[in-house]
Amino acid sequence: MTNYLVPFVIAFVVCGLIFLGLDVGIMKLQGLSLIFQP
Amino acid sequence: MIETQIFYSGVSMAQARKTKPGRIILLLALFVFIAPLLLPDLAGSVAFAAEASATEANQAASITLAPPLLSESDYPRIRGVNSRVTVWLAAQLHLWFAAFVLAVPIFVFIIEAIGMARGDKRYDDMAYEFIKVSITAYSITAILGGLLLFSLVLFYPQVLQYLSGVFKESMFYYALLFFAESACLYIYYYGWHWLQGGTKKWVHLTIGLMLNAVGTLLMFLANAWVTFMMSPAGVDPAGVFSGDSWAAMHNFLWNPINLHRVIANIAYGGSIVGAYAAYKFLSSSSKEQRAHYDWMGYNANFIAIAALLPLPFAGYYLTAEIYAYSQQMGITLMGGVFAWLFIIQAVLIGTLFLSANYYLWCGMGRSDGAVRYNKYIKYLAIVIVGAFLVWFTPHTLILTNAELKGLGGPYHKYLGPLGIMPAKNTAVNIMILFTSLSFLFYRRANKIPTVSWAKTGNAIQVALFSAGILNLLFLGIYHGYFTNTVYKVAASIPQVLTTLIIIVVSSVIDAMMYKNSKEVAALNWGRVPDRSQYALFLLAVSFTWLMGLMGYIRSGIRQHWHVTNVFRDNSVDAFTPTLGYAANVVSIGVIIFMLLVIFVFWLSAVSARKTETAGYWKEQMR
Repeated sequence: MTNYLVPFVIAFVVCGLIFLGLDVGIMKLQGLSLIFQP
Repeated sequence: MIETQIFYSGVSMAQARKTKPGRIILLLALFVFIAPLLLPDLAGSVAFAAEASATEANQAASITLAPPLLSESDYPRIRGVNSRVTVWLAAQLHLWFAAFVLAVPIFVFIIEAIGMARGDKRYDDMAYEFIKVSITAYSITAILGGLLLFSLVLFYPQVLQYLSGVFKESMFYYALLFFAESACLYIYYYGWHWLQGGTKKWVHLTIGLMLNAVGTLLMFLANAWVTFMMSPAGVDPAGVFSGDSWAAMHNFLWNPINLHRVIANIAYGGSIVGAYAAYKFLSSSSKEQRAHYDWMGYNANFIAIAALLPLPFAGYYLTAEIYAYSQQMGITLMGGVFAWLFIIQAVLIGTLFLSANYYLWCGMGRSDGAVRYNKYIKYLAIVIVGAFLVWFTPHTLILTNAELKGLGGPYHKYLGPLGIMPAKNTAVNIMILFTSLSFLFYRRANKIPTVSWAKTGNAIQVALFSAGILNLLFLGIYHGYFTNTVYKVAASIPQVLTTLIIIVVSSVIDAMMYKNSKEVAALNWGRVPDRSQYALFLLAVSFTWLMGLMGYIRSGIRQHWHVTNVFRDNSVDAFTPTLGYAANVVSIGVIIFMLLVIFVFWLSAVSARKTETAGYWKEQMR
């Protein structure tokens, strides 16, 4: 179980951060922020 | 591999792979094709030099071309013939066949190259069989092109005169390129067995590349005429042509259509040859033949899926550009009179995804190791069907008072929110991801990884998909329902990139994980139920219908204009037909096309038949 769980958690956090960075970056390129600012 | 033993003995292509002159020829041809794309100045100066000089000549002579103001009497009519429907069907049938014959050489070239690289003659034979099918289709394409041209000359002479005035250079080169394409195609096909081995094979591959280059260029030229009618350029507000042909060609929607059509053609071509393989599979009596056509159908379906996955993104790009060109046109397209056809489009795209997935799931029956993955199929099916339902949920319904009352308002309380684009974007991204997952399972079904980090690799892939899907949901729900339109549209880009990253990264991990893997057992090609072949037919019919409907919409958003806002349509047909009428015309076109395709398939079967003629011919003295 540990063989799966540990790499899963690490990879999940890393992937999550990468996707978050992607979201922020692409929204910023379009002159927007990730969180809505009316 | 058992399939190798069944069909063919391997033929060494080592000599071919080591041949330098052949590579040089291919590289030179590749350079000639790619250089104009990489060097904009070169593209402007070389590829269109003739047009530029013609432009200068025109400007010097102060020749201008203005669209005429027409009346009903300017449109010749033939008793009992509907001009618009005739041109509509001729154009649509021409386009279906053209898409097919342009796409087949693209993947025939790729399959031939794979066969050369692997030294596997099976690929070479499959590529030959694919191109054989397209030869008859090529003649039909030309005949239908002639029919379209005559229809335009007969029914819309003034429109054709104006367009041929604007595009006279490109129309002339189009005709010349058509000769070049025919020459390349016929040498490519008839020289297939002659140009084998060593340098000859490289020469053959180079001709294949040239065929694709010429074919693609032809399509780009024709696309310029079509997109000029939608988003005219190189003309003043009154439609007076400045004489700059390149500006008219390089109009706002030209490249979005070019991109969309290249990808769509490949998917479409894959689906049609998939239908051919299914037809041959079902009509084969021997086990070997069924195995062969099963393998062929699998490859065709793979090509169709590979092109289908990025296709929605190309579609979004095209639509976004239509909105950017003209908001009015965009709203007519997706929020106005044509919106309901997009619901049908969504149903058809969903059908494409379902049939492609269903074919893959059935195909897992070829492997003895698939039993390990069968338990997951139902979950894939639930998610894909769920995404499909969201994908075609309508937003603005045309309701009677009683229906409005029954619904409790214009939108359904729970399903209403699913009708907007952020929900559909999320759904289609998930549908694409789960289709790639189906393919991942299919590829793994017959393999056992031998790398020590297989469990870690699986965990990373699960994490990648989980985090990615959460990101898709976050972008879709938060930006879709808690922000404004600008944010909604902007968030669709990271959604697309998330999906692409997941597919690419998981494919790379999988390829590394299953490198040097063991096979569970030899694959049993041909061990698939007959119903899987009907999924291939469904794929081809859905694609054809979809292209017909979307083609009508693309053309229809010009409404009462021959050329948007500059050249008015004043014929008796200058109105948007009802959706039912349009769908009927498209459906009739689909039936005619399918009959012609069956004729093409039948011809290819007939050409292989031989009748014993003992006693019929006189014995000749030698």
